[in-house]
Amino acid sequence: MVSPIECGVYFTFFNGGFYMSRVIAIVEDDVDQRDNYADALRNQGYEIITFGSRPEALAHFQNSGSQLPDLAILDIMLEKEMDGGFDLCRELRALSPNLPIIFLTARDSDIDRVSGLRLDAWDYLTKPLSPEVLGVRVATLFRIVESLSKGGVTSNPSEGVLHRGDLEIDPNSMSISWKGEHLNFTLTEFWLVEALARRPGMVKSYDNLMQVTRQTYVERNTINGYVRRVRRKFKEIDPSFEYIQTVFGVGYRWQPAE
Amino acid sequence: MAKKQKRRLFGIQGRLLSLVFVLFLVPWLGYTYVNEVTELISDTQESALLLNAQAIATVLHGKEELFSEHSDELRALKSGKSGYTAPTLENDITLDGTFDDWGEEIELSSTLYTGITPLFCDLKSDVTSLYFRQTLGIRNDRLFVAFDVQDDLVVLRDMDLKAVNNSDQLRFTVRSFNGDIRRYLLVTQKPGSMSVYLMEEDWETLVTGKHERDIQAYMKIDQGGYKVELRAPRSYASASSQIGFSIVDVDETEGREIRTVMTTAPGDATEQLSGVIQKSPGIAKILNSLEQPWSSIWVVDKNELVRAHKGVLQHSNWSESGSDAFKWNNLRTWPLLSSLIFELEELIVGDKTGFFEDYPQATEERREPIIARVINNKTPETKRRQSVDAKAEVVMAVHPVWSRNKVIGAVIIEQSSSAMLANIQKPLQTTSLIILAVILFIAFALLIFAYRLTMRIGKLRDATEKAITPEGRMRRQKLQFTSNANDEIGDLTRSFSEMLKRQSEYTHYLEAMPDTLAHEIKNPINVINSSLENLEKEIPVVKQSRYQERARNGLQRLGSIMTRFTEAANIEGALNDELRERFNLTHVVSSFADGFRMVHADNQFIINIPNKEIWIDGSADHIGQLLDKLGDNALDFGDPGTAVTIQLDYDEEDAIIQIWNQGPVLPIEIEGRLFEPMVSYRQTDARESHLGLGLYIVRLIAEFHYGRVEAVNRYSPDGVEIRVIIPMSLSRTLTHPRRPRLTMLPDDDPDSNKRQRYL
Repeated sequence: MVSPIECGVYFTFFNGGFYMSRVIAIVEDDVDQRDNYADALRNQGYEIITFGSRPEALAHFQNSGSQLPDLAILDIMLEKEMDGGFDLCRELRALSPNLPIIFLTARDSDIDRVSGLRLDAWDYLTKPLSPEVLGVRVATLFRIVESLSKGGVTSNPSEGVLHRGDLEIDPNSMSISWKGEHLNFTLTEFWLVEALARRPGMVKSYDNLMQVTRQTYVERNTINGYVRRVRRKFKEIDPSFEYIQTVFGVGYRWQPAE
Repeated sequence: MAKKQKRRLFGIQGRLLSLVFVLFLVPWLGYTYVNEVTELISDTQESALLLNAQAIATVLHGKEELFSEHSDELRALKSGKSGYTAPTLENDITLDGTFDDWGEEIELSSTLYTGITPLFCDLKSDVTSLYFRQTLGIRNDRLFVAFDVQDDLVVLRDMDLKAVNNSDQLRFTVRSFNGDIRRYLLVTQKPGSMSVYLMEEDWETLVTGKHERDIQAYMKIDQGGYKVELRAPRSYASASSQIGFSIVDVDETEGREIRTVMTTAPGDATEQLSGVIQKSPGIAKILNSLEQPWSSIWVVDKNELVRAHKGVLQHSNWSESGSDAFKWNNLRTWPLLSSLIFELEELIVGDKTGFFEDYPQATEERREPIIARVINNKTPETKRRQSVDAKAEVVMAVHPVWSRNKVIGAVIIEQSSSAMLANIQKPLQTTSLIILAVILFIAFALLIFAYRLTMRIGKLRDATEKAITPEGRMRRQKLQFTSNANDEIGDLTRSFSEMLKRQSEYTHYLEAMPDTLAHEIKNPINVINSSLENLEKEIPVVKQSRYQERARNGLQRLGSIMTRFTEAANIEGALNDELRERFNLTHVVSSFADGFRMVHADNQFIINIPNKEIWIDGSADHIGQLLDKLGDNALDFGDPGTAVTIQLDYDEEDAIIQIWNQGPVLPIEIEGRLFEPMVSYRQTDARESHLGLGLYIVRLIAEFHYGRVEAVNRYSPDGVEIRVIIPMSLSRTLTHPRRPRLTMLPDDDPDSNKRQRYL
């Protein structure tokens, strides 16, 4: 889930009014993809500003007159800059430490993924990605923001909350806690844990898990990488955490109740 | 990889070594050179000797009186030409049995008589031990004769016995000008002056019994025999008289029987008595003034009678000469090397510097046709001959002596070429030593060089082979070592290294290609994908179009190709980065089997996993991936409704994973290639893409675990079994992973298709 500090900041962003349409900045050098995503998101009622390069985007945001967007979707390779997206992310972080940023890129190596998440990106999505799926993610993301903006309390807190032993999953705020402690997951990680925990003992094959990530093409190694990171986050709180079991060659499963 | 050949018989080392043998042409050239030089020296020596002869001849030119001395005696001898030659002695001779006062004549003019020389030898028994040396000389109208007799047992006269001829004795016969023959018997009872008796012809009967006073003799016993000096009037040795000597040997004191009578005779004399020729004192005086070492000079008159003689061909203390001293010095310093060289040298130039044997007789007795030719033809001549024992070459120069347009004699100089050759021997030996040392050094240097060269080439070969795996994959980006050597091999090493670097860059590019390609392809796919979706939103009716569905299907296939492609491309890199850890294979396989069965609940499985932990080293995740690929493969090829068998087995060394399905057997065409990338034998729906990368990934993972993978056709029921064999102990780890095997075992019964056959 999103850290409380970040959530606190979002209040200030969105206190202008809930119904005011949210601004999403898309920085993507491929004009076809950029416009396709822009069209799809516009159709969902968002206000979209698009940029083709890092300097162009940076110039706009640094302009004192212009406001920062509510969400930035960045490609990593921008024109000739191999890591233009990472650099832009860093520069945007300098302008606002709490701006939600999503990377949407064709690069799917573990290193890139980790680099992106280290820059406090909310998610790291790989192409090809359906505009619809992107819309769902964006909506989910704003829902979390909205939920947090209301003090992190939904209208019916216990509704839909999933309990598996020490695990608690709140699908409304998309937050997960283990033994009462909050865990800081990206959206994809949240979905993976949720999918595994929903049916303990049931093997989730790689194919299942790929669908869970709501991305079009995900490699087996990418799934392994996600699971590794998820396990690490659990173990930071509880070193004896062993609930996510590897089913070698097939996938993973949540350890069934005794 | 180039197959390492057996040790080459004619490698670089061998070739260089054979080149070394070319160096042995140098000694051959030296041999030729030495021969030439020897020839030249001999030629020079001939000319020099001829010049010397000419010089002496010039001195004697016109001096007929020197040649006419005692010419009456000579004339008398003219017919036979044989006679004792008696040099004129320089000193007075004391009769004392010692030859010191004889000077060099005792050697120069002596004649050796042995039992086997063709003499008038009356052997009463078998070959005797007796031999003696006789020398004649003339001084002041007296004839002196010296005998050096070697006799193992000297028997002196016994005064108790009446007979005088029953002891060792000397017989002296003189025939005077009128034909009277006088026979003197010389005996003694003790060393000292000898008794001289006049005897009858039978040498037994005394004529007078008195001591004859005209002849005196002295006997001295010495080691191995005795010596006798005899003095007689000069008239006994005149032209008109003839003389003869016999040494009589008695070897036992009891019976005192005469054992040997050995008679002297000059040259080829056919009679027992011969005349005496006194050499020309005048000529001898001239010759004596000449200093010509190691050469023999003599002068003959026109009747070829020797008038004077000086010098010997070789000196008695030859071994002290320079060449031998050099030899012995070297022998002491480098015994083996020097003796080797000496032997070699003897082989090449022959032993021309050591001792040699020449005519045992005095030179006068030799009949040299060259002398007659010179006297007759009146032209000087030279000649080379071998010494009698063929150990040395002797050069001979003969020059005529003139007087009033007539040849009155000839000067003959003989010299062995040994002396000259001895002079070149030292430089020759030094040169030989140097050449030998140089050749050895060069051979050694070449060997070292060849060894270094082959070592370096071998090192380069090994490094090159190590840089690439047997499968042709780059293992290193450059050679293990670098070379700074400023030569061709250094160059080769560097360019190999550079080549590897470039090749690895290219390989890297190729390896990165799937990734790059996938990355590049993702963007257009994304465009199509998002466009299709937006199209559906814009024109909702499109959603129902079958073309829309097909486009999505195509996109899906494209995406799946891309994923598999990058998976295979990334697996090698992933394996390289993977840390090996020990894990329980039984757990991994059973975990997989359970999960796989759960996921594919519609299929049947037969699972055989032993209840024993099997620990191997490697990566459990990748073994899981391997199992998944094999499981998918078995499901894909298995006939519907049949079970897939997942089995784990082990023997003493290996863990064996077997996954097999019933279904069509493997076609023989893909024998050996099944586990190579992009090889697929599927003939299923064309709308599904098969890159043939699954089993390639299986192979890579098996090799990462130092194992191998095999495909086996099974019959009754038909099916295919894939076996992965992984060693359990790392000690059996192989340097090179074994290649996957797809083998066909011999078919015992060709008619039977039902038998299990291996591909």
